Amino acid sequence: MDNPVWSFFFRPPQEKMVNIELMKELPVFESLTTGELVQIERVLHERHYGPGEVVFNEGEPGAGLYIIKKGEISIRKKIAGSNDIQLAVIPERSFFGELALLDEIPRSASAIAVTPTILYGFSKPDLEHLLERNQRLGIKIILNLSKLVSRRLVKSNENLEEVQAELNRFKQKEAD
Amino acid sequence: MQRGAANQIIRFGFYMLVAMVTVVILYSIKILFFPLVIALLLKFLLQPAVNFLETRGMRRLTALTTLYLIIIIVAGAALCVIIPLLIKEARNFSANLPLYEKMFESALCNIRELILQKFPSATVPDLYAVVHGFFEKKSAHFIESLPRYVSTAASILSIAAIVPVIAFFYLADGHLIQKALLRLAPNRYFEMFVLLSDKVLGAVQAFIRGQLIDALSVGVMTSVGLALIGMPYFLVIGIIAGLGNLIPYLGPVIGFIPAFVVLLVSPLGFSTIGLLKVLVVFVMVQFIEGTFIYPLAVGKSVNLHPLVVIIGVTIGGMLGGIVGMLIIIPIICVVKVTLEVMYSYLKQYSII
Repeated sequence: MDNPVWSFFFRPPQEKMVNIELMKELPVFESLTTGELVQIERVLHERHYGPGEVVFNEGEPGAGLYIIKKGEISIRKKIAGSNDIQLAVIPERSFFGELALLDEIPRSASAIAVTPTILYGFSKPDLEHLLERNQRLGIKIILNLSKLVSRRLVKSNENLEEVQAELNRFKQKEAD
Repeated sequence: MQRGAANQIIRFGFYMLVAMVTVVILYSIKILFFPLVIALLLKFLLQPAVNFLETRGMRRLTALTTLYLIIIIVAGAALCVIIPLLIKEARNFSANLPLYEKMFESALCNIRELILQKFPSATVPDLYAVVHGFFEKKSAHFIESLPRYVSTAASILSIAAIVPVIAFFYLADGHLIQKALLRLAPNRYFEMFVLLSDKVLGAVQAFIRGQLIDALSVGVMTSVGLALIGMPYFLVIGIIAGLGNLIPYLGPVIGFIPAFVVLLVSPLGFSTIGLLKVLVVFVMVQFIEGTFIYPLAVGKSVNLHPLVVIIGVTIGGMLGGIVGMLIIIPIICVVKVTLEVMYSYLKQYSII
């Protein structure tokens, strides 16, 4: 049942419940009812990746977020004048690429499977169709995404302040 | 080793079975090609209404069933009005046929005489004899192939019955079909396929829906306008004008030709005022369609150069007669939209 085409037609029903349990743990689907999660589960795209296989490349238009059901994903970024560096390793039962749900901006980093990995893709067109058909559910997801982005913005501002303070201290030391 | 061989045989048998099912499915698609395409058009047209009902809190299946019930009631009521009108028009036409023939003969004789008056040295054939001979041949051919027409009509009826059923399943499970197809995309191009299929489908859907709304509006407006000025056969002319509207630039002419012929054979005789009235109706319909309906329904995204339209209609006519002429322009537009979207995406992915 490794072949994704066969598994689409012959999917055991208990797998659906496992996916819903996994989705309940993710902040992007926070406060969604089981019924609403079933609706989203229906549109998820199951993808299988081998070690070293690229999920998406930096600079390409982003299609949506991915939930890691099994395996690990390395997030890598190209740095001018050197090899690309690893920014993070995303573990099992978490997600990445959520900004692409809000805007089709180019991916800011590449995502590469570290181990044999199973991902569930939730694309921007899927979210848009959900918004057309079930506005309440669509708005809940967008609200959760906004919360994630605002939390990340606060974190980025704190980091920036720390770097600024560090820089000031360094300049002061240089002046002395 | 033996087990391996048995597995191989079982695997071979399974793939053979899948291949047979695929062949049967492909053969069914070949037979059902037209119903599948027409059902897809119906799906594009009804999708917004189903989505609207869903946003009001209905489940998709309930929304679909409600919509189908509303359509059956409205279409039934409309047919109760339209079918007697069409029958009345057909009866009128057959009753008046000898009179029309006479009017047509005198109109053609007048034209011949007019030409001979202006150019006495010209040799003008007896126009009526030419046209009459042509139609006589055609009618003999029609009677000969009547059984074929009857079977065609039966197959059209069976298609008409199957189309709403297929459209129902497209509307209920369309996303599953798209999802199953996306499964076939290689991992490397999965994101590109997701975005590309969404954009292409969205653009094609909007275009086809716009065209159908536009054609329907032109048909209704022409029928109402002609009915208001007391033109006979206003319904048939309206239907022809609506269908003809699928061809840009030539559409209004296609609608005007039958109106002109009806004027020509009118029992009251051909009158300039009658012609003026019909012209006013057609110009007004074109004005309203061009100014308000087309920009709203179809938009300016699919502008075809007049030369492309002329070449397209000629090729369409050569390949598929009148039906070919009608459907070639929407096909060209769909291909144009698809290529435009594909080009911009393949560029973004640095593939071209």
